Amino acid sequence: MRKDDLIERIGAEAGAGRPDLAPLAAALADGTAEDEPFRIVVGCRWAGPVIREALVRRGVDPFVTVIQVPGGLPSDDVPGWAAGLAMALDGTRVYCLTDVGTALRGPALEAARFIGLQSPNRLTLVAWGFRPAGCDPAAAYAALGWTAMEAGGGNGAGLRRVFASCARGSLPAAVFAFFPESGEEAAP
Amino acid sequence: MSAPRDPRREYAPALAALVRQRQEWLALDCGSGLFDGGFRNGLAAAVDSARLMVSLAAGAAAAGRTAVCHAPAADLVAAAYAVLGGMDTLAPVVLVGVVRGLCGADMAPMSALPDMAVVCPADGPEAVAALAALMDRREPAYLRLPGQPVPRVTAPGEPFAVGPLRPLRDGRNLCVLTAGALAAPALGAADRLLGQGIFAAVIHAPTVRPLDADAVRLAARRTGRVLVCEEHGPAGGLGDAVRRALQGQPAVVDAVCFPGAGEGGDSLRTASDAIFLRAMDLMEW
Repeated sequence: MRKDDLIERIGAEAGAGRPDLAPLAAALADGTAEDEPFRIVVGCRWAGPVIREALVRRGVDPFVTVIQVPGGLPSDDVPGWAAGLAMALDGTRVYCLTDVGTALRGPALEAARFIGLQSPNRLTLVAWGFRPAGCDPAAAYAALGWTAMEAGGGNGAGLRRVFASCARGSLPAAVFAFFPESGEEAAP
Repeated sequence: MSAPRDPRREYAPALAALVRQRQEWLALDCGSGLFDGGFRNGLAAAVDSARLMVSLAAGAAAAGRTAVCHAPAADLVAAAYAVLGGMDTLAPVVLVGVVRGLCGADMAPMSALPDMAVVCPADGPEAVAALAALMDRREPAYLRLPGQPVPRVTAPGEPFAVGPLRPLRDGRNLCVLTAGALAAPALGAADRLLGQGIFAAVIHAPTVRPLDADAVRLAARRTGRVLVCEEHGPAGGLGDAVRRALQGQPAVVDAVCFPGAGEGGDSLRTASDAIFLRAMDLMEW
């Protein structure tokens, strides 16, 4: 699928070119309900308040909801930035939210390779978007030493299960939250 | 001139010792060649890409760690612009660029990044002292490490502060301002100028940005002639900073640049000759 097509589809489904992140945030809220400290790094400015609002709505204490949007940092470099944060914050899980396209570009894959060699590491990469044609992102990350999973449906149910399983691990985890293809029903 | 020593060999063990003492420091390396001797064991993480290294450092800095990145100067410039160039607030990372020979056009782009301090030490001991000062400062900084053996002009353990000039020799006829590895050749040139009856002051400016403009103006007022020597192209380096500081001042300013003068002791001797000849020219003004 071409990038233009993707943008068009996101625009048609979520309006103003922005995908609906509420299910993702809801799942994140459940996933972060474990009692370990966490931080969330968001790759794009507009998504920060959306995630924050959804987390607070799901009962996450607004005073511990640390959402960091490194202003002006290219989105390609956000995974590396989050990896640095995870390296520096010993014992804190860092969730890095980005889109699938960014997660599969060179700088993010370089970061993934580096982080895959660091153990333990408490970075969880959450990538949302449409499933790319001819490429298995989870397999790519698994090959780089990550615990990589797909959460199909994009509606939160699969994500909740995935977060629950990866939140306890000490390996870096990549979660790919694919939006449902047109005509595909989202799982409940 | 004292026997040339490789600043890289003095820098790496000193950094290892500092990182062992200061748990909050994080050292990263991407092909600088500084740590081939074994300083790795959890103290300096090797990263394959300079861009990733700077991203990691910026993330670590956001968590309160002080990160220092090492790479060849040209790679570091590109990575700094790719990652930090558009940031609202520049991450407080220390970037250490290794230059090969008396060459480079790294100071100009680094100086153009907002709030980035640019430090150009003369030798190994000054590089080590500057690193400690920059890490404690917790501001973005670029440290340029000479990549070839240079004679020592500072002693190990001498304190370093970001900003002030370092007078190396007093003189009343001419002020030679240097940065980086050219301090030693400038002292050699000053010795030869003395033989011609010219008393040249030699002042080392390890901090190119922010430059101590007041001290530069004072030196210019005392001598009336300023010769800037730098291992950089004519644009964007120490020469430009000095000209800005001396705008409107009654002083003759000239610059001798070595943007690509090669490597090794021969280049230092050539530099010393060039400084001497340019100083003689300047005295005829």
